[in-house]
Amino acid sequence: MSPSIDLDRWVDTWRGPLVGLLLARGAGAHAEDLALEVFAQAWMSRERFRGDPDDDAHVGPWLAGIARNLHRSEGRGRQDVELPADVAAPESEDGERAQSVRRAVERLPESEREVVQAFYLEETTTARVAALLGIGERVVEGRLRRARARLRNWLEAPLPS
Amino acid sequence: MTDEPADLLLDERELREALRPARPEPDDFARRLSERIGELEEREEEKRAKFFHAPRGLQWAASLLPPGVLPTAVLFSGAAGKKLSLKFLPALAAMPAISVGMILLTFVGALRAAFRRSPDGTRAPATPADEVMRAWWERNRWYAILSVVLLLGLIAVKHTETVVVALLASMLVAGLLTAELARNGLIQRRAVGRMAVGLVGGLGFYSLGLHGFLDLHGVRGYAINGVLIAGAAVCAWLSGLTGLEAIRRRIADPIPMKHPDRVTLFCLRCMSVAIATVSLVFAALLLWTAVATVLPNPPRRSELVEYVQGFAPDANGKSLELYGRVAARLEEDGQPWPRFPASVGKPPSEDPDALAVWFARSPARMEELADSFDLQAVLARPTFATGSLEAPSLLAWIRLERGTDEERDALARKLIASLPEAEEYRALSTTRSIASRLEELGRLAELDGERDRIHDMLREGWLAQGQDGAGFVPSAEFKGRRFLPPPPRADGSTTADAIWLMGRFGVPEEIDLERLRAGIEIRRMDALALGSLDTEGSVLSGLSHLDLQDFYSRSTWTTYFIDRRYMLGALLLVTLCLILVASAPREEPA
Repeated sequence: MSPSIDLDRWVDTWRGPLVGLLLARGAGAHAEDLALEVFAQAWMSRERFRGDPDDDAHVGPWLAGIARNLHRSEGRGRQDVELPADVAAPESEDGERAQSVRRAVERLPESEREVVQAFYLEETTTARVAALLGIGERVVEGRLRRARARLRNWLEAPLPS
Repeated sequence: MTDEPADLLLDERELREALRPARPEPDDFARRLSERIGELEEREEEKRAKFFHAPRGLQWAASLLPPGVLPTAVLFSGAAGKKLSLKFLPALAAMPAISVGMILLTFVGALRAAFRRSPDGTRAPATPADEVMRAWWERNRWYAILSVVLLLGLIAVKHTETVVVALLASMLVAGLLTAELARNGLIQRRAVGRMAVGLVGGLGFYSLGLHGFLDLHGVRGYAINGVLIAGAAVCAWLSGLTGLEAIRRRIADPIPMKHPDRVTLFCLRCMSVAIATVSLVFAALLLWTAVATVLPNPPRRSELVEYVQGFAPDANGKSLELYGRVAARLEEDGQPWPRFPASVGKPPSEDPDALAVWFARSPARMEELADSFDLQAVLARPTFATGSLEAPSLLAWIRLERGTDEERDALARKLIASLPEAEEYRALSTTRSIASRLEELGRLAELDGERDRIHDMLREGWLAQGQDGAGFVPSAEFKGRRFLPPPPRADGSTTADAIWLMGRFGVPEEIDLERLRAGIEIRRMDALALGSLDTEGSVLSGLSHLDLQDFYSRSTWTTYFIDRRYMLGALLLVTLCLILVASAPREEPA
């Protein structure tokens, strides 16, 4: 018997962390589309989901696995595709400080960038980010602190080139 | 971990604000997701439709072949499987031609004998054989015409079971003709015996495909095979067709006739040899199929058989196939086979019975699983999550009778509190799981108070007019999203669960069991004959729970005969053949 999956709840819970993770892994303007495809694929193959659909520790790794595969194949498929400028780099209307923060986040080591973007893009918990990344919750907390400290230093001093 | 003071860290609000532009807009995201799922579902449905509308030639062939042979050969996945399919297809495609050809040749032979005319247009001088055949034709022509028309007509509608009956009827035409010739001293008993042995023995092998290797109702199926094959043996004995020499002559010698008619001789010989050959090919194919369904890769196949038999020595073709499919799917994902110690999160099947087999074979592992069950965490949740009702740790905990009476009572209360509402998605399956756990806890009676609610679920899930007949569906909609293509199809797994629940909690008035029975039969035949392997397992597992006798109070003589039609047909055929053989003269007439 396949478990009953509340897709809307999954989307509300995992949309932010997934898009953040995909952004951190270089999906760029495709991150949102990829996350959308992750949910669509998860829904279509829901019969194969063996865990507890209400348990983040089961759902997170499953979605992350789908995301990893899609991102990999997407990466192969779109090597030669040139994106329109407005899609590749959406203009934001916020201030210079926010842009500096984003540039600083981009320069974080990948392991820290992943947790920062997955955690801060939308409201979520460190447990969910941990489930998504397949690491411990304490590790996520540690990386977040390190990243915030690094960002603070960089933003108070000129950004490293 | 670094422990910088908070004022040395970048403010969280600032970070969130900076990342806001990349945040998806929830409503737009949901709308696009819904559209994308719609596209994928449409594509999936097209794929399914494509399969069900396979080339007409294949469907036509499928209607004459033992179910299980063609679907398996055609549906092998992977390069190896495709190669195998291609090799087998010509052989498979030739078989219907042989079967129909021999029936038609017999028919044409009878017609020619009845209406033979000399070149000047007058009736040709009648030979004794012609006279007998003409007389036979006068008496039986409508039956002969009807049986051939029926056969051709039913092949066109592709319903395997009915085609088999028509094939049988057409073969009986030939049998009656042969008996007529024998009664008139034109052929001897041995010739009739050869045909009878070929016919009954051939069907004995043929029916292996219908009821034998691949059917959970093995005992009943083998009983029918046994009747047919034993009947063939008795026919052989009555006609003196015993021993290797007789078998050799049966294949090689012409049929002795005092007044041979070329067409009749050709027809009878063709029928005898063709039935024997086709039967042997069928038998070989069925044996091959039973093993080959496991995995297309031979070394892995034998390894898997050994592996499965390590914990389930009595695994039959069906369960080997099941495990094989699980293993093949895991291999596709690059995962190892579900060896037991690593199976906590990945049981080889969702079927609790299969898990029970595993548990029984590995008590130590069962103890480990039971240890890992966290009762307090389960009780702390408002209700059971659907997926966790089949969790191996829960099953192990219950079956090892862990916990105090109070704890088991508390677990039972939590299970009952988790009963879904009638309109919830998969309400019937969830209830079936809950009832199964309560039964294992020895507290199923506590669910009796929920009988009306369960009846509501059964009414809600009942599909009286589905695309493939009646049955049960998990729910037509889920969160406003249709997931069943219109018109909806009954779901095998949900139907099995509903039948189980009806067996325990009674049948609501609105549910027509006659219709349900017909629906299951249609799905079973479709699954077997058209090879929809994804549903085959669930349909058959549904049938394994279909012990309608337990609560089927409206049984009539029609259902009694329908249930036993294969066995009755086998007995009838064997009896007819024995009469035909025994009525033919033993010695060649002077």
